[in-house]
Amino acid sequence: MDPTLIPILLLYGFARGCVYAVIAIGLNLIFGTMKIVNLAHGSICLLSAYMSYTLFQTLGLDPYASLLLTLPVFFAMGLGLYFGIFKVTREPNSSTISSFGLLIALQMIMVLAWTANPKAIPSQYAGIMIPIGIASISLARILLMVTCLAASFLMLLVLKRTVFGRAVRAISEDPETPYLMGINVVKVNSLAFSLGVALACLAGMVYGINYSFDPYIGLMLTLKGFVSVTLGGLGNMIGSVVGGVILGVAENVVAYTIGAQWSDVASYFIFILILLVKPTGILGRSR
Amino acid sequence: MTLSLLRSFDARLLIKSKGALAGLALLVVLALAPIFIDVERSYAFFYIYNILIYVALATSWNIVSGVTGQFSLGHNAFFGIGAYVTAIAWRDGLVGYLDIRAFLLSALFSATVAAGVGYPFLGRLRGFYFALGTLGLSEVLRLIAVNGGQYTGGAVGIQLPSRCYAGFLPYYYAALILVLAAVALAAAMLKVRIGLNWRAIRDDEVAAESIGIPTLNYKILAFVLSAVVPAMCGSLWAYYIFHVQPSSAFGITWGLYPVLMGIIGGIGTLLGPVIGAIVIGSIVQLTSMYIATLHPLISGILMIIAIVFLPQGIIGKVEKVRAARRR
Repeated sequence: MDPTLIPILLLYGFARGCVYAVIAIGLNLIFGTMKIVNLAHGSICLLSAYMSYTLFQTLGLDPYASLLLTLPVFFAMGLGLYFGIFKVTREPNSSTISSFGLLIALQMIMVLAWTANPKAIPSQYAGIMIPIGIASISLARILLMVTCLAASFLMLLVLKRTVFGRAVRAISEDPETPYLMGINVVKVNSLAFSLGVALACLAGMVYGINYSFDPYIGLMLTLKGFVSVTLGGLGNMIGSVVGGVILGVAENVVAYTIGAQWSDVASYFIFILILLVKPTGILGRSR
Repeated sequence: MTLSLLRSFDARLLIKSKGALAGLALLVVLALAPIFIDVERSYAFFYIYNILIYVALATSWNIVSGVTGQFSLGHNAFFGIGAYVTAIAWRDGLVGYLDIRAFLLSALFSATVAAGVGYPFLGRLRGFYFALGTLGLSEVLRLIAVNGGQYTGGAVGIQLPSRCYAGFLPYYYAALILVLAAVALAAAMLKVRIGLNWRAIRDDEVAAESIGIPTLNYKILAFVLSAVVPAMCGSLWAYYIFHVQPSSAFGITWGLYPVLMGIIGGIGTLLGPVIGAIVIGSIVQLTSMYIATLHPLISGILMIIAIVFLPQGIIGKVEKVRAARRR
């Protein structure tokens, strides 16, 4: 392998990992508070990508500008899903199954509305190449990294500094006691769920600009998100970001050295290995 | 713990008396039906065949997840193993068409994988982590099948000689036998001490360990037993479809549908997964027949509705109604 390629390889892996990080934070937020394994998370990302795609095709709206429309819509959708389904199912197993139903339904809606052919959001950002050393990186990738890192940082700040964030951490730690402390658990949970969905919306849009997608990769995105969550440690938000980045880099390195078709195998292999060696994740506390 | 043991005992007695008789009568009717109705011409048999496969899968899944409490989301791994073992063995001339040895080989292979994987998984992973681990396992196996090159046929899969097809009747009876095997296995296990130990592990693993139950061994046993029949279903499916492909052999249909059926029916009971498989299997098939383009959408929405309104499953609802009436 050409050693000068290594930084490029790492950079592209880092970019991919940033998307995983945002997906992972959303999943972590939802799992942490409500213990829901949200299998539909990746499909929600894809729905957002398709919406931005259509807004670009019909109105010529810039994908980043379309966020102004899609983010509130997805936030509201999150509230709707929480109060319509997940608040009622409550019990983790039932919630997981309803999220599976949601996955199947969303997948079908996307196939009907946009067909199963792979698509990508055609934005001007992908065409602008910025040279670095012997290779170059598109503006779209750079914007992806900036957006995802900013969103992650913002979420970490919210969780660390605000009353809402403290409530989320309290519920994650112990779902019973916060009731006694006068925390409005339903309100916090609904906000946490909607924030998770909004993060999925953001992740889906940046994914759609940079990579091609079709309705069937939703479960794969969800799994990648959970791999990142597990890598970093369940309940650990910084861990999710670190886990996502490690996963993205590892995938790219494997794709380059062994072959692109093995990158997914490698990511699940890392996942199972981490589960077996240190289930609490590399940054998680050992129990 | 005692409370839920009592409850499951109650359900067991209920099944023992009327359920077993009704189930046997149903099986006899299904077994005799081909004498009166032409199997090759009636869609009803294909419909029943599909339901039977789902019953076998959901019942098997229930052994490890419902009864023992180790929630597996990746049981399609064993279905896919069965399909691939059969396809490869048949292609390489080791077994013939609808060969009993293929079914046994699939079961053996699947049980070995379950034991090998079960040891680290069940030993190290609890609850959510085990669920994710099994989900990862099925994905890894699917990707290995995709990347297996000549041996597994890659993404295209393995084409099998469909000229061998000898009518639908053998498939129908094979499915009946598989259901009988799955339900009998689950029923037998629930009756003996093993079943009690499994439920003790589900209700409180630490307590079970402390009264001297070797929990890991029992969990592995449940995992291995629950992997046998799904592999045979995969085997039968390979013989029926004549084209084993990674995305369909390891499809979520075989992994997550049984979970759904078990939960809708009522996990941990013998009857629950059977009822769940009949209900959900019917919904899936009827919608795919009459509104083919919308079918996954409708099934998906129905799943959510079913879970929202029947959180404890159909069995749980029935018992609740009965209890209320008794009072």
